[in-house]
Amino acid sequence: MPERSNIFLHGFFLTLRCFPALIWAYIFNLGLALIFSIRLHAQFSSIMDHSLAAQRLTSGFDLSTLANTFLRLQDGPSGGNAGAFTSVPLYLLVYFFLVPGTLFCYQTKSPAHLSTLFHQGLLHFWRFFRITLLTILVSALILGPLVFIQGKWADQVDKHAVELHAFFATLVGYVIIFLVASILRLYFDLVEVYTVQLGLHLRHNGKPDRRVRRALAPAWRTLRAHFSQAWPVFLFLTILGASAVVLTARASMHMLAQPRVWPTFLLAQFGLFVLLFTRFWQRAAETSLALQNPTFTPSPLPILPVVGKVNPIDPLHPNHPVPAHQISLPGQPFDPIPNPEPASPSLDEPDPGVFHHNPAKSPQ
Amino acid sequence: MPRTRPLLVAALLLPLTAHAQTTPQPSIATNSPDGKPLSTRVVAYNIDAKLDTDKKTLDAIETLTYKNLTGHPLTSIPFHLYLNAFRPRSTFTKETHFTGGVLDPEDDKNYPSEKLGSITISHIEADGYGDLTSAMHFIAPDDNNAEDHTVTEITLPHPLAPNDAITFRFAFHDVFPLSVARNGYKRDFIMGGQWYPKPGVFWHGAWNCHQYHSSTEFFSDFATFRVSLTLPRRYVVGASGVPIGEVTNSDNTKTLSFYGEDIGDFAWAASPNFTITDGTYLSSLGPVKIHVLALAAHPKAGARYLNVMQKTLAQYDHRYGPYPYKIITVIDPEPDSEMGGMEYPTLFTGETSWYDPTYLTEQAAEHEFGHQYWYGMVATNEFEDAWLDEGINSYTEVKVMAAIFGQNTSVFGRSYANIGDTDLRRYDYFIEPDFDPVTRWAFKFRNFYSYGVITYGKSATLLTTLEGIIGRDTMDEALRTYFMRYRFTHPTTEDFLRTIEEVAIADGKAISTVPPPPTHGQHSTISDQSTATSFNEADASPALVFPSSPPLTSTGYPDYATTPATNSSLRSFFNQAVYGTQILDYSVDQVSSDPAQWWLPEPKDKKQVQYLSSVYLHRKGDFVLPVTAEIVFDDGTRLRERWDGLDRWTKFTYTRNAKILSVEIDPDHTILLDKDLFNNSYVTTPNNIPARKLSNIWLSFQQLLAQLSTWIV
Repeated sequence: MPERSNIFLHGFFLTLRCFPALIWAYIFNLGLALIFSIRLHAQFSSIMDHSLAAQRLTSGFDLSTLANTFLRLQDGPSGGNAGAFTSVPLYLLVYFFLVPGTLFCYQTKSPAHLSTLFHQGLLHFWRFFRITLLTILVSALILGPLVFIQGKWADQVDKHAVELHAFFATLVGYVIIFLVASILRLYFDLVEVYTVQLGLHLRHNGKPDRRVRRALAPAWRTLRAHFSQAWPVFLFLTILGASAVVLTARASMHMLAQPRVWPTFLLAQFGLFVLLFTRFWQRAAETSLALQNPTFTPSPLPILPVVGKVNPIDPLHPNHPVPAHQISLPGQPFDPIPNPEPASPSLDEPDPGVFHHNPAKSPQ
Repeated sequence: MPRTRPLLVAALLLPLTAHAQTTPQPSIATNSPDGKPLSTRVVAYNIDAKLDTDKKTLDAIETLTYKNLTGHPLTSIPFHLYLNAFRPRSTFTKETHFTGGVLDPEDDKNYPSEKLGSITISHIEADGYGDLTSAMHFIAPDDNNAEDHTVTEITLPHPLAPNDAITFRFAFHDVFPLSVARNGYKRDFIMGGQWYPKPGVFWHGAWNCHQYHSSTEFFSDFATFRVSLTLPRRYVVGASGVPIGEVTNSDNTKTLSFYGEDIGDFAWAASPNFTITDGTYLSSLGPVKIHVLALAAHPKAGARYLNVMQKTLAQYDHRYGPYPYKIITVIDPEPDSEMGGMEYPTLFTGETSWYDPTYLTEQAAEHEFGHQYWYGMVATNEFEDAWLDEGINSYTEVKVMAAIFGQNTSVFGRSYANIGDTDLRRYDYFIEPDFDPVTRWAFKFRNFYSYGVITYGKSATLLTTLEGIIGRDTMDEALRTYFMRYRFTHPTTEDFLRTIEEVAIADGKAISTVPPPPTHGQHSTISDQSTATSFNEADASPALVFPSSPPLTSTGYPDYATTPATNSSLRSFFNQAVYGTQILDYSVDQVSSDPAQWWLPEPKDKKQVQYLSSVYLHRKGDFVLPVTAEIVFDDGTRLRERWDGLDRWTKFTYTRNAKILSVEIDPDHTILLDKDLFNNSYVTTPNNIPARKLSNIWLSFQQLLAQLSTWIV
């Protein structure tokens, strides 16, 4: 049986071991956002750089100036900030490549080079695409009714409670939806991990196993067997990431009035990085769990390491004590080669792994 | 609907007739200086109502005495029956479906039964006229919608002579809807607004009794009200006027009585969850009780309302005139109802929530209180001149909020971010600035949205701009004069504008002028007319001269037919800002400072270099307004230049031993009607911190959105 370890800590070390994967994800996240903010920044600059009215945003943060800026962006035939969100689908696409590669590196301990990540991403792209479609479908089937019930619950609450009481009562519904969603996410995360694991094994035809459906059952068994271990870790890391974003966003907000931008930038980036880190940590923890519960059980005839196992009484091995009967008496010299030489171990049948020459049998 | 038997009706009405009267009596509900009526009391109401809080219905007997002060014999009298608006085929519902409004859009196709409201008159009779029930018929003066039952007309068998009075007796039944707009119920909170038959106003020689529309409010004559309301004992009630009695009944109910005078409407609100917070403000006419009924779910609301009301009363008393009533009742309506932020005489509904870090709670209270002046006392026609109540009130709101909470922090004021009410109203205006003039009838706006941004946002912004032109003191004096002159009357737009002109002229802030008579068929363009401005500009200070620019007709020519007679130099501003839809937008187009002797090598001592500096200003909009530009040089010199704005652009040139540092149009920041304040200035040294701040926020937001989107993978 594989060695049992704490998935939280093991996941953490896995994340650190494959840190470049996280760094690449962050770079793409930031880089794409930067690229698609350039045009908007140019528009902001053309409106505000030479304007005294914009100074209300220098040593303060006047929300009306902010609002008027966005109003001005709509001016002209080429106005608006259409396309400013293009970085989101592009990052999503990149993420489709990065995740399989990262899971591959987690499982094989391969270095997380960008080429490796993208190579594995390409190999797994359609598998992960199918998993994502399945995730959306199952989530819609399960969360859809829950959202509907939540609406009814909110209506019911609205009839009997107001304000703070109503808020908390309604919040209960949202928390339940969140918890169910987190279980779904955890399950499909495990499906992805097992999908990568399956891909490491060759089928009888010599090709990697690309069948996503074969990952569903192992993921379910693992989730069911280790739910109390996996779910709290998943939830904790989710909340940790979200808290980091909320706290840094709040701190950034309180720095808005400063006539400097870099502290706000750094703080916001830190929060976003932590959010990404916790997500990769979740993936690593799930990988750890899957490694401890592999899809394929080990061979019944394991090939054991030779040293210290094959012949536990190997007298030549320095780590093994010499048998008592071989210990020389005081005054007698120690003979490392006993006389007579012990007989070679024999097998009941010829070892099929050893070539035996049979002249009577014609060569095939 | 229940129908009351005539004999029973007669028995019920008999004791009430003794109370119905129109004769003056010593002031009960007002701090009238001499005890005399403050208004011309056209109507006297006496209503005895019983509220069923379970069924959300009300049965009442109303005795109404109408005094014919019109100078004309009256053969019919129209009445508002506004609870009938909440029906599937009413004009109100139709308008909300097509042009938006306060009705929840999801209810459009299948009108929910709980949102049905109605008022049914089961019996009408009048002294000397007999039973008039059959003489009642619905009319739709605004759109001829036969399905709209919000106005009924009673044809009199014989005319009501001038100065005669007629006493009606109605038996009616109300069904309150689950709150749709302004009244109804939400949970166990019930708002009685527009809940009784109310006659129209005979105004400008005709009956003025509009249907209930999605975007309009109300118009009515001044009256006295004596209202008794019977309802379960556990309910707390706030109502217009002052409370005058409470009787506990044997059936676990109580009967509360209220009296109001010199008011045009009567509303009440009932809830078992009200907590009472009372205070007093000593106005220049006497003590005013501030009676706050806040929901228990809003534990901080009572103190907040009381605090802002005391400060607001002081501001209004000081700026515009005294509040003459003995009480102002603040109602905190149920959350998520459509009844927040609504004004009634001596009573209004606020709007708050259990968590409100802004001053929006205070803003709502201030605004609705302001309607006590602009609607309650200066009782303009909210159907036809909505800007005179909502617009002027939005203007006074931003002034009072700024005085109490700070100019740039009156909506939200934290160390890290802020926004002022003035800017918020201005922002509203520029979302949809040029579809409708502020003077358009409220239910004829392009849509509900345009009505909102123009009536509130543009009006507040144009009056703030006007204040910048004529000065704050003059503007305050004009508003005060307008209030004192027209309180307890029904003034019009021209009454208001002429008051401003009169005060501005008296203060030397505008000049009186007589325009050339319009020549019909004259095919002059707007710029031709501007060039031919007739008044003697030499007689006026440059700051007061406005080119004439009346609204244009559909063919593009000045529309003198609808333009009021020009009588001051402010009239051009009024024509464009009030009657017109022109957009004001000035910009600093180009700034340069180059060596005058550019062919010579640049000396080491830059101060010896003589620069030829030029500034180009551009009028981008079609609103013509004289503007000031301030030019700052790097030797510290500040120059102010005046431009009449008649042409599309102008140029200023300077030859100095200094370069231009900055140019700013409207350096005093008074012309808030300017669409784009960013292009009003140009600094030669760029400052990219504002752009970087916004870009950083956008960047982080995009990243977060991108990361969140990956949770589907």
